[in-house]
Amino acid sequence: MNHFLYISLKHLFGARKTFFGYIVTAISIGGIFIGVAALIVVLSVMNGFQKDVKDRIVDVNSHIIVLKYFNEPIKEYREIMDSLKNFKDIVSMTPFIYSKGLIQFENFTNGVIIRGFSIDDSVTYSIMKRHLKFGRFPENENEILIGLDLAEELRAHTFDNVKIATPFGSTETFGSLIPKITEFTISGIFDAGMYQYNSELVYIPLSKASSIFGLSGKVTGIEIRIKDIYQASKVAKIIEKKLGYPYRTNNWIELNASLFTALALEKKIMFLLLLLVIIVAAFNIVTTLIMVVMEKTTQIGVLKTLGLSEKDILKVYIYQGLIINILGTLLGLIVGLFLCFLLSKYKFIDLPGGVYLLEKLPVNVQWLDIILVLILTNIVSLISTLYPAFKAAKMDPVKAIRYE
Amino acid sequence: MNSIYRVENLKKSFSIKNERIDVLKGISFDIEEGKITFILGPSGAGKSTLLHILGTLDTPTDGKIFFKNVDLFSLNDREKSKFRNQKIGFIFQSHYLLNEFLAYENVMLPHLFLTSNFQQAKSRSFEILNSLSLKDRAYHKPNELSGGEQQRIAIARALINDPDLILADEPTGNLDSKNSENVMEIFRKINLEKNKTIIIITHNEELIGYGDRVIKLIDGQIYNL
Repeated sequence: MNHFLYISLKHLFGARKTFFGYIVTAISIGGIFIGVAALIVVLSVMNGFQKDVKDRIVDVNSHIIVLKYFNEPIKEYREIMDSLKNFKDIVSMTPFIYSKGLIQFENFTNGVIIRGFSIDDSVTYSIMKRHLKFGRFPENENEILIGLDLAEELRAHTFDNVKIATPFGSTETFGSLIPKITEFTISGIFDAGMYQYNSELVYIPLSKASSIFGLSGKVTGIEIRIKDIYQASKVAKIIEKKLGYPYRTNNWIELNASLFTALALEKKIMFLLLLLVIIVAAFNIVTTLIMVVMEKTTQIGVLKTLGLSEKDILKVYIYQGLIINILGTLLGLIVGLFLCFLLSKYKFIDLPGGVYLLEKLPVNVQWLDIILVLILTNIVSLISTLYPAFKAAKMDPVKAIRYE
Repeated sequence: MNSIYRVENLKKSFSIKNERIDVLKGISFDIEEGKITFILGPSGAGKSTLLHILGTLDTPTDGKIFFKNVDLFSLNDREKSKFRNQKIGFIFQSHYLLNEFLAYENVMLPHLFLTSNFQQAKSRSFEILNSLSLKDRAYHKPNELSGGEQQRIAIARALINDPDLILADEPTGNLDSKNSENVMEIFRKINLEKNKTIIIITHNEELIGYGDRVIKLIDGQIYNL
């Protein structure tokens, strides 16, 4: 063991003049511990939130959509799909219709987003099957899927008949529009894991959607799933270039940019706020070390008479600050990671889905964040040790001995 | 005569509330190697200040001190620390043992600073403790020892690096006559057997019989040699 470390350990945990000295040391370690643990848990939850939201977005939605400029319906969607089928990045393609309507069950109504989808598409089938909570996948064009929260609002169950009102294709009578009302059977209720989707989305077979919106076989666009979701912008650009005007693309990153920017900003702000906890804890280190320096004035003088230089004394006190920091950081790291493990394994914190998009507190530990927390904590702690260490180093040994 | 110290026109002043106090008023003397020298004087004569300056714990206002022809105050902090660690053993009136450390740990500290070798420092510490009949006190804390034992542990600590010189500031000040006698016998023994130079500061004239030479310091000046 390094002899500076040896003296540091003795000074910090050896005989102290008062019990209060030990308490102050414990508070210093506790401060760093709480700061580090809180940072790890909060950053992991923020990461988890970001990841879960992203996973659910890219799960229910496609990665890239092909639309026409100004969103005019596309008639030639089969040709477009044919022209893209040799793209090696593309996993699947399916046409879709996207519009708004009103759903009614008995006395309950709700505004909904209607998505027309191809019931023959295997990828859509497997995704919806995974999210299906009750009932089954639609088997004919009069059957639909609705979200769990929407079903709850409508008080509707599987195989209940609901009416969907759409403004398109309706007959004009005496100068006013009469909405077109179509009756459907709820074949299944899905849980996409996100309140927004569960409360708004209604899946209708493509052919039926085309007819109720008066599209005569046209579609809103083509949904594309790709191998690497993070390449969505790049692949979308290639597709756009290939198809040329009047087609354009959107991808999941672009469509949710504001959400992800907000989440990233939130994470940064939380990081800065919690860093304040570490800075407060660093003040505790300053207090502890000043107390140790005051208590050990004579010892510092004696150590100088025995041959320690100013630089050596500086090292002894920096080591003491680092010991406090390392103990606090280690405790914080262990407890923080353990809390993250408990949160991710037992998911014991429920979130109000309507407010937070997700219903369980998600956790995703990212080692880069942990390393950043550890580095910053060490830098802050190191800075906090400098003043007391410098005071100790500069202590006049004669005064230190004389005042005993 | 072979001088270990050469002190030339040494002055030390303090300023307290704008008042200048001259503690050492330009003293010059030599200390012979291998001898026991007493610096005698009443309280406030500047004895401790002189010892602190000789031990490089304090700096003079003016004048020069040569240790074996090396100007001590031309050294930087690290060199002075090395000098204190290797060339000098300090003994004070209060033993200044560190309470966090056991007796043998207190003794081994200077050697640990020199070698950074725990095992070597520990075995050297036990060697010295044994030579001073203190081996059975090795695992005691300083506050578990008697005054005489504490001072002997402090002597062991001063001797561990085999220094050229022992600087002792009222080493028997807190001891009864029997323990004082013991301590002085130890000094005489190490002086005779190991040819160590010993400078003892005291106001107790009864002790000077143990010395080879007496320097009298009164009011910051060497009064009589």
